[in-house]
Amino acid sequence: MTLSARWIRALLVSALTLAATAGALVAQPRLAAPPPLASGEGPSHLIYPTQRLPLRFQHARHLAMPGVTCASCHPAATTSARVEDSLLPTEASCAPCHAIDRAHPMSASTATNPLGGCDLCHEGWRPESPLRVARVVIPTANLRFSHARHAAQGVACERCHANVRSVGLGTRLELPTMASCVTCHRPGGAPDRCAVCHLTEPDGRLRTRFGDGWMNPPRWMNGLHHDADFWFTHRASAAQDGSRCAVCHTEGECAACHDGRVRDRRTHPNDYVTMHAVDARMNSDRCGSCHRASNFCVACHQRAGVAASSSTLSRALGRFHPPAAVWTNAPVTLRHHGAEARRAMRTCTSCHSEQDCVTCHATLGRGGGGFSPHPPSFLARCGALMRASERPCALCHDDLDAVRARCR
Amino acid sequence: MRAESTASSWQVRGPAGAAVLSLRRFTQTLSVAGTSRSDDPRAPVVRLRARLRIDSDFGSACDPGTDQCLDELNRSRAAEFAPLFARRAVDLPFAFLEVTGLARGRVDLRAGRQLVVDPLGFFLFDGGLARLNLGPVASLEAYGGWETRAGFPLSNGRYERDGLLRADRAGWDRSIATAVLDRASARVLGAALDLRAGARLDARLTWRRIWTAEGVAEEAVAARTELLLGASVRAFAEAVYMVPMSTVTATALGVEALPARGGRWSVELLRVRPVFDLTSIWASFWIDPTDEARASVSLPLARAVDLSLAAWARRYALDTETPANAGTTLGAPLNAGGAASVRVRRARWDATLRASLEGGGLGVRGNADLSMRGWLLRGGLRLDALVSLAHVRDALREDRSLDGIGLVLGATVPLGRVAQLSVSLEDDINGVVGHRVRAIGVLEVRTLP
Repeated sequence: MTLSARWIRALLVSALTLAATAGALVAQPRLAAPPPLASGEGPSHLIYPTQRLPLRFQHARHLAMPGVTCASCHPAATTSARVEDSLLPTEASCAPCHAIDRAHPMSASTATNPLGGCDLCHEGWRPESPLRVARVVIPTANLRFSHARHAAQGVACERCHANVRSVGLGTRLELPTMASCVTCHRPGGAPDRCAVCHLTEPDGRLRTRFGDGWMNPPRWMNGLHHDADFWFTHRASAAQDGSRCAVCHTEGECAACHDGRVRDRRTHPNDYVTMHAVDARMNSDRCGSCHRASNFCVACHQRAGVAASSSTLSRALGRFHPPAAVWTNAPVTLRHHGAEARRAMRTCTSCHSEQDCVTCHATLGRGGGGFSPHPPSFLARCGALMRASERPCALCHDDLDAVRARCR
Repeated sequence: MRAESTASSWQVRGPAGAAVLSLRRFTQTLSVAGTSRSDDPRAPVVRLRARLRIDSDFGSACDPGTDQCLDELNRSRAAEFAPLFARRAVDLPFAFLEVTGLARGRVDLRAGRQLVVDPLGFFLFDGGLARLNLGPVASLEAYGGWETRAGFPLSNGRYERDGLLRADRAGWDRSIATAVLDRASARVLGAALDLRAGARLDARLTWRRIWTAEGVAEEAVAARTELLLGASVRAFAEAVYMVPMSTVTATALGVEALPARGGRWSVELLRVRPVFDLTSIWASFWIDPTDEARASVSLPLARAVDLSLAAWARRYALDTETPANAGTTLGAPLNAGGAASVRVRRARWDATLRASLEGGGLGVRGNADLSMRGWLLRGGLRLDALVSLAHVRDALREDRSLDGIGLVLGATVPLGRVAQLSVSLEDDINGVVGHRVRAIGVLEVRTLP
């Protein structure tokens, strides 16, 4: 196969995988809005901690009145630059319409003053203790937010507080969710870095632990939600774009597990050193996500007397593999080393160097046993491999070897 | 800045029975992280990240039956020499300076030792990376430099392709440990194209070529696409193609559904063929792929309570090619397994109960554990506990089959506002090695709380 033919195959594989990309790019308008929320998730309790609102209010009724706008009651909403600012209407903003009579609190019920009584708005107000009302608690949202900046951009209140015109009391449910924020905060739109809105640690990562628990990406966000299975499935998201993870996690956190120096007990429970051989045989590729067999595994196997290159003193402790009659000699069964190698070659390299295999698998001309380790279809593509590197060929085949000449 | 000192001690028993390794390891890391701050959300952001690590192994390799200890670092005693073992290793897992958002957000630059995580897998190199953001739908990335390889100062070669054993052989007698090759530098070039369409589509096409004086060690292209179908279905597809091998070495296809009532249902199909350094003999050996199908469901049972269930089947496709000289094939052995986990996460404590079992022609591996963490004294003390059960049947070596129980107790206490100390004690009991204890202590110091 020529070089160009191989590249054509490579491009075909890529094209197949990217076919959906092209189709979607054509089908979708640019800067498409994110999909509607399907997860049923409301505003996060971590971002907007639980509120206590012992109040009665009808946003729907107020906003239906002529001339009443959001700013009529929330005048600071267009100038507030900090999320800590309280935008709750004060008594002064109610007073122009509601005849609140503070001079006579004993008669301040709606029975005597239908539009100015304290119990019109304050739940639980009692005439016998007229100066006491239940406290309103609205904890500061765990966000960065400037109402002023949004107002200056011409963003209407209802763009973020969508249902406010139809509800009674405004609660956490009328606060914007991230799904609505990203309709504007997206590539090419308003700033879309996570730290623009989310609180950060001193090193720039997002702050993820709050008084009410841990922050977790929403379920709709590209498979990033950290559910109970996520430690096992996170490869799918991380492989797409590692920078997604770096928003909350340091490179050190990835390296701590994936360079195999720290033992994670979820993956390696109990006395894993004693148990690990079965896992390695079942799924050696998964071991490779944290361990490089050719140095991490070999180094320990050498010391423990398992590897072929172990010191002769420690190897004298015993044979690791099954008896030669099953493991080495014909016939080839599922317990033969040839089958094991085809199925889980990485486990071979966790103990053996090339020299161990060359001893038998080199050609007779090279002093080996002449047992070919190549698959039946190998001759069709050996030329390309040889062009990439002739070193491995030369270990088993001498320069005049007919097969090597054929590949060349 | 953050410094972490970890000391641990444990024993390993060799497969022949004798406890040959009594390990005491001390690891020290020093990390630096810095980020620029600005009130302007469109201003460029400068980030610095670096970590230095020292791994010291004070263990010994002694056979308690004979009291004989190996002189494993003495190259003049080749019968005892363990070539890849080092008492002390210093490495730099990463160290880079990054500027993002240059030229009105169009250009990101990064220089230094850096990790690339993408469909081609983890890759660590020393060099530079530039990303050009071509509007909201595309970005182009290019990088180049030298792969971080074993045998070089401050490198451990963790992310190299498997296949070759390398070390700095300077000063070694040529006749000893001939299987260990001398270090070899490798240059790398890579490029990637990212495509996006709002939140509906995210795709990456990536290429990488690594070469040494002995030839091309890796040349691969990979493509991965994530697509949001409708309101609640996400699909992804991935393929990796090794160019000199003319072989697709990995494919993955997955679908994930997010029902309106919450939760996540997913199905994933994988085919993986192990890949080795192309300058090693392993790349040309007969290697068959492994297929895996995995289905999982994750359900929020209540606020802060998650349930996950998973089932999988793994097929070792030894029937992809028939030996030219044989009338029978080895078939395609199967393994199957399942797992369940329940996690509760509260502000002051969390707990996870997990169980998994996988079995088939290669043996059986089962595990169940309950782990708990709790913060006491207004966060001033964290307690950790883990109880785990294990069941292993090794079809190839029946004498290595075991049933075991493990117990872990740990505590973490803050020392002032910038430091914390963690200690844990692990006790494992099983039929193969009997009773083993591991003690771990971690001291962490930061310049900022």
